[in-house]
Amino acid sequence: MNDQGEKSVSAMADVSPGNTPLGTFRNGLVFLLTLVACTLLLGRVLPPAGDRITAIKTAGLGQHLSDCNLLVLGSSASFHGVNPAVFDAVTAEQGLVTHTYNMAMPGTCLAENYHILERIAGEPPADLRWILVEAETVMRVRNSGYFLTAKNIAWHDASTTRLTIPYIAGLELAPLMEWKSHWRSGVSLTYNLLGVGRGLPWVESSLGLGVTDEESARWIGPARNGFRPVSIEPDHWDLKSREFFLKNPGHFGHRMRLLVQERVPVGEPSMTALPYFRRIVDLASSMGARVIFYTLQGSYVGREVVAMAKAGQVDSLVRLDDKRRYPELFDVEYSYDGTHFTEEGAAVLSRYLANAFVQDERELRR
Amino acid sequence: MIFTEHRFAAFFAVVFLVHWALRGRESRKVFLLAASYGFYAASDWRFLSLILVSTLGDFIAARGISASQDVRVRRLWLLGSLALNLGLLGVFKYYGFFVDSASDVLSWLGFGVSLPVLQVGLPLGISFYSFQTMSYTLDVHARRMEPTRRLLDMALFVGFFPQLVAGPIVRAREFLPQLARTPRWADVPVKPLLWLFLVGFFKKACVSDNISVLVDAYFLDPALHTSASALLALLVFAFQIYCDFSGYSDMAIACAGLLGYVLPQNFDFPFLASNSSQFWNRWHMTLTRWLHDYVFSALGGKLRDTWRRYFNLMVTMALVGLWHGAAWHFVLWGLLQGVGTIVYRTWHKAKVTVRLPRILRLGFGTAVTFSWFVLGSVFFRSDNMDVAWSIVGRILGVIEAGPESFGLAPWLVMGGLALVHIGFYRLRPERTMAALSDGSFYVVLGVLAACCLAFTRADVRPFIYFKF
Repeated sequence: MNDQGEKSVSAMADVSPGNTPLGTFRNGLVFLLTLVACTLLLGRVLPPAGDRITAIKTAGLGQHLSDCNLLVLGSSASFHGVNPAVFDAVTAEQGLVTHTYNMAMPGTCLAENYHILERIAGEPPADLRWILVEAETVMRVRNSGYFLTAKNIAWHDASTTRLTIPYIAGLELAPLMEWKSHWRSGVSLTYNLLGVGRGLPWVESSLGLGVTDEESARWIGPARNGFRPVSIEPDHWDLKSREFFLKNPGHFGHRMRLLVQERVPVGEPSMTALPYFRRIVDLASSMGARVIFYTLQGSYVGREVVAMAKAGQVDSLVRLDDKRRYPELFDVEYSYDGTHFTEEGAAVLSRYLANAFVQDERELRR
Repeated sequence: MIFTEHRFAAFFAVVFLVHWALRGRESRKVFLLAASYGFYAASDWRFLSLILVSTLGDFIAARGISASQDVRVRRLWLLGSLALNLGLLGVFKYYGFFVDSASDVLSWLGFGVSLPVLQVGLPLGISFYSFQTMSYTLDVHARRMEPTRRLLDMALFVGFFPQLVAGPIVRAREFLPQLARTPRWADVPVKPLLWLFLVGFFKKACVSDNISVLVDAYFLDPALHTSASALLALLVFAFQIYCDFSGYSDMAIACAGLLGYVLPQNFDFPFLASNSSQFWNRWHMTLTRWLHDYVFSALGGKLRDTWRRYFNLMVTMALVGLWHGAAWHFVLWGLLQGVGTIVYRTWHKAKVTVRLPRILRLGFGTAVTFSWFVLGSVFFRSDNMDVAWSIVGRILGVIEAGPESFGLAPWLVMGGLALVHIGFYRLRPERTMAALSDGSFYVVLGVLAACCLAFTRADVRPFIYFKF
């Protein structure tokens, strides 16, 4: 052995390692058990998980706690698609006063939205009465930076992990994608279990990189109440989606035809995600608010969801994925990239959603 | 594939288990080589052929050198090896640099010539493995070692995955003898290696990746920020690059060690060096050693003629800069480091006596050395000379700075990191860890690993030195 090589570990080399396979296995087990136990303990101390946009929107909601009475939760389709100003104007025309805040976030689905609601429940808006929740059961984003439930990696806690396991086990995907998706799901699970990144909010604030008013205003308001037109500072992936969409108009049309025919694309979510409907309803009830689920033209809405609504297991389900009733939502002119709406499309969606909400509210009062 | 990502954890687990499950030395080496090529291919399969070319070329060249006693023939084989490796570097790394520089000179002279441009990517690790193979043929030529007769050993020396893409730059005469032995699991110092890996992981994933956010925020638009923020960004960048690179080296050494092979140390607390000369004996030690042995010494080394000696030093340091990046701002960075060393040596030679306690003298030296590195890193981090000089201008107050400030908190964080760094140097926690019983050691390791994971980013950030 050379001097340089020995110097690398000479300061602490074991006098006589004498490693044995059994001893190694035992030590490895001790390490893993300690790691998991410590992670669970740390989970109670560290701040809630979340990424930058979560911090921005939560800070934004904090400025509306006294006046907000309606929250919108959902994915990026709702983040870029539900304009509170248009929504509130439509409801006001019909005699229902709403002050809406758009709390939807990119890459979230029911599980993540439930966790957002849990945090909001800690300090809810004083007069909260309604919560509109996009019924996006599973985000299926095959981008290398995301996993099956796109923000799953950020919302690590034992309960999310526990519910994710049966979901992964029941996953129904085309055989070719199955191993890759199972691998990604497994990684996502492991990250959840090990609490990867839970301390990062502390790091960002200590480096002076916490959410600033300027950043919050640039992204979501203050006048927009959490809504952000997709055309404002689109990121790299938004632009790539837009480019693909413009070059392949037939692709959009094909997807819309599949959805209209209720032939759900490959990757139908299993029943595992559905308990979150009930959880969201129960949590909202504890805050004195009523939940109205809604679907968009891009939602992967399964027949199970519709069956649950008919059986009264969800309070209200507004289906905007109906081309006959809402044709503009399936129109390529109002679509930015096949999944998100343009600003004009968002105005159309917000009007439709507001009208459907008012109708649902009136039916309930009857 | 980065050492801190989940793909590597799965890869290494498989490699580790299969490696130690195999009984024969040769079968282990074949497996390791296949795994190493797979590791490289996972990051960049396109340029795997270059590694094979470099490996085979230098294997043949070394055999040719050794087979002849004729000085001219030996030199021809050596020149062939150098031409191959420097040619690969010249084409894939420096072609654009040479073309741009030549175009600038020709334009300045009044010749508006359009030189051909080569659109080709930078092969991962080329600066490392090409230097490694060149050292092999140089050592054989200088009769410091006999060439290996086994192509498998040569291929594994070049392609061993822990050090393949970002060093440490290993010498053949250090590594090849290890391949002649069969590693035994019973002899592997597991605890020190696991501790080393954890420290490297902490430096890369918890420190470097997180503080890089501040550096990126500054360099996105330097004109927006105050002069103090500029200084802060450079300070943070110095820590970022140290933690990134030394963290990688630590993990590489640990991984190799867990497979039974020893790699050389690459960092030895350079920020606590009390002079520039000492700094470069502690920072990227294997590169410094390589350039000292094969460039500085070839130029004449430490000659009696002071000016010639300083000239040799500046040429070597310019090459250090050029090795890091094919751009003039990297060369300037290297030259500035050379200036720092020359200033120190002149001062030292002058035997200037300063009536201060030793600790203060050392402290002053350390502060000056560290500051020189931090300030010089503006040329390392900036995208080009214009950006670098504009930042320098803002720091000096010559150019108006912007209004945005990162505030006081990051300064305190950096102060805390500095204390941790000094604590590691003075207290040597690796010794305390080594003294623990097995059970206690693995419990402590588990606790610390959980804490590290809580501050690890899920989005994987590549190692800075992958760019070189």
